[in-house]
Amino acid sequence: MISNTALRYAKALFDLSLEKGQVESVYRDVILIRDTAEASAELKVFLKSPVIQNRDKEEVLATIFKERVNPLTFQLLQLLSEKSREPLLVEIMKGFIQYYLEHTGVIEVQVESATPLDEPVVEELRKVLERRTGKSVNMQITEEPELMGGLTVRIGDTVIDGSVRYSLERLGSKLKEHTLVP
Amino acid sequence: MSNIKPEEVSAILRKQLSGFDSSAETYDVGTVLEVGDGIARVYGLSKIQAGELVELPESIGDTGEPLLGMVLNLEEDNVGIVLFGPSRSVKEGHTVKRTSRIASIPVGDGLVGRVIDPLGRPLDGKGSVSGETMELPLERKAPGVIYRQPVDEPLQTGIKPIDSLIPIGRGQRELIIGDRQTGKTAVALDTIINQRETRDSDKPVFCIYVAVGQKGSTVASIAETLKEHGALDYTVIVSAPASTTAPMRYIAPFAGAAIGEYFRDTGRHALVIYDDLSKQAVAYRELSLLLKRPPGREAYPGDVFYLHSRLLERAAKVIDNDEVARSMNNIPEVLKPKVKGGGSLTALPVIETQAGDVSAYIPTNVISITDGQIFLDTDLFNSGIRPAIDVGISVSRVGGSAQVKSMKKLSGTLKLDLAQYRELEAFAKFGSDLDAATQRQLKRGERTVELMKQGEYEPLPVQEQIALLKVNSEGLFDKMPVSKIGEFEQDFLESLRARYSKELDNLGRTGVLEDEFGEKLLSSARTIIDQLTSAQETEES
Repeated sequence: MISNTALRYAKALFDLSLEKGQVESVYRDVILIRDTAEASAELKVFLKSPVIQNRDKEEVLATIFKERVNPLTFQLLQLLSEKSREPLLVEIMKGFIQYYLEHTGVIEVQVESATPLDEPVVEELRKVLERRTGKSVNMQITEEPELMGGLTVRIGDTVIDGSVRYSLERLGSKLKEHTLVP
Repeated sequence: MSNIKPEEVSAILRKQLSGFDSSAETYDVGTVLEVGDGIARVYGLSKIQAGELVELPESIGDTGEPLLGMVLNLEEDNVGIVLFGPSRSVKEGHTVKRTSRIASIPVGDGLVGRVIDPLGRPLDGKGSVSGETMELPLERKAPGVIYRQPVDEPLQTGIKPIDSLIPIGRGQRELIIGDRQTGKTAVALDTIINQRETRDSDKPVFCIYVAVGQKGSTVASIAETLKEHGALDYTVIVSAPASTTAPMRYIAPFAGAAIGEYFRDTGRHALVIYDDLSKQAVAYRELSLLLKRPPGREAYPGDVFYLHSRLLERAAKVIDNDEVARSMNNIPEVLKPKVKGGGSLTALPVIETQAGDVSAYIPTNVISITDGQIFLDTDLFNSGIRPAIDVGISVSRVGGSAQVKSMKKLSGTLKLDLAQYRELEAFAKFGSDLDAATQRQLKRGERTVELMKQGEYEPLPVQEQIALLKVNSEGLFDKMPVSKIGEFEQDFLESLRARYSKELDNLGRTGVLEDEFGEKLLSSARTIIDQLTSAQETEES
């Protein structure tokens, strides 16, 4: 879940980068920052800690990112330090990615499968999903043996459930419906 | 034990599974963010509607059925959901599924004679509801002005003081109000039992009894009482006892109203009793406070008036014209083909006051919404006047126009007698020092009050009430001791039933007391009174 505050920062960064025609380069920065922060638990704790001075946080962020990112992205980092919003950094990055994907017509789809999927199956699935949603699809496939068979596809809040587990659940409740309660 | 062939079992299973579709299904989901006190905040569910039902996996509940919830709050980044079952095992991260069903209840003629919970699940162990049912929404807008017609048919309660002085018409909303232990439920049950009289007529009344926040044992004994008196055959009991969660108690009256509307909109007559609305208001207050809605007077939320007004507005007499009725607002699609005019839904809400305080928040609200109130008084109850109806402050604002003609005529003198008696009651202790006129009035009043007494579960048909009131209005009781009135009533009605059953039926049907029959019943009353007074004199001598 992304908080409203983070979404506001993300929107500002996205709109500005769009205006300046630097969306692609900022997007690369955002991915970099997100991955760095996600990968390093220390950095996360550092950013969240209220004990550490804003000035120290600013310096550390500058050392890590200054040379590697677009000036626009770096300005955001400085703004965050100034406003003491560093804890929101990862959320803001996620918010930006959300806006970027929306803008480019890409949707994120989570696929859960009971068994590993072959490449042709994945491609077939992608084609079906792209036809159905009319957008290009960015798939994250995870394996979930609990499904017992079949797969589930989650697009935003909507789930397309073709798993054996769900079928069995429905079958169970259907049988119960017709059973007399003693 | 009889043998069951395995082939039979598999045949049954095959039949049930033949319609089963195992292809993929699409549904919307959200994730529980926080949960506590029966309220869950959920992230996601972005397309959900207010009042929609949601489902949590069945592994959470202890009943083996999915745990249901209802959406009450739609906020910017989360959805506030009230849970109908125990919330102990719900945890952060659990998946919540949309059902795309606005809170509704399956309704059909098969509900009659059943005890169900507010979501339509049977509680009486008689299996699923038989016959055709349709999902009707719990919340529905009341019929608009042009689809209504004024109250003009009586709803006989079978209770003497009510049918004569505070008459109720079909489509009316009459509040039953009083302290605990004053016989509020008894009045309601007598009314249900008396509807048995309408079974054979062309306008039978179906009854719905909604028990909110009562003891489970009370609900069971009410069901038993109704069954004993043959009243369960046309009654639905909606039960949300004290042990259920607050959301259940909150929606129970709406479930009752939805069932009543089914009868009302299909051109039939229904009576719904909400016992009681003060407990529903308390349940709603609990929910509202947990959902962090601002508290108002007595900590009730600001919309507690709307809660009761929208519920009670649904009681109505629908216009007796099928074509106009069919164009009525807010008829669910499933109900449309069955809509007929001329039906009615009468509501008898019950409110419990604390120490006779009718000026508390909820009582004043409901008094102002309803078309009158029946006030039950502790002092009257304790002094042996049962039903303990205080006729002085009880009113029926619209029922008068629905009253049977001859009853209306008799009730005029009755009202006067009682009013004068109340005025003079204080002087009663001066006894023989009073002038003859005052003494006569006191005598008459005393006997009238005595005549108004009635046993529990003994509703009287309207024609018999008229006969008794006729005898009283002629002043025949004046020379008889007060203590003999109960005895007289019994003997008199017995002899009437034996000798004039045809005339009584006629009176009940037309509502007109023919002069000839009037004379006949007065003369038989005189005979019985003479017998009783002479018997009294011999006892004394």
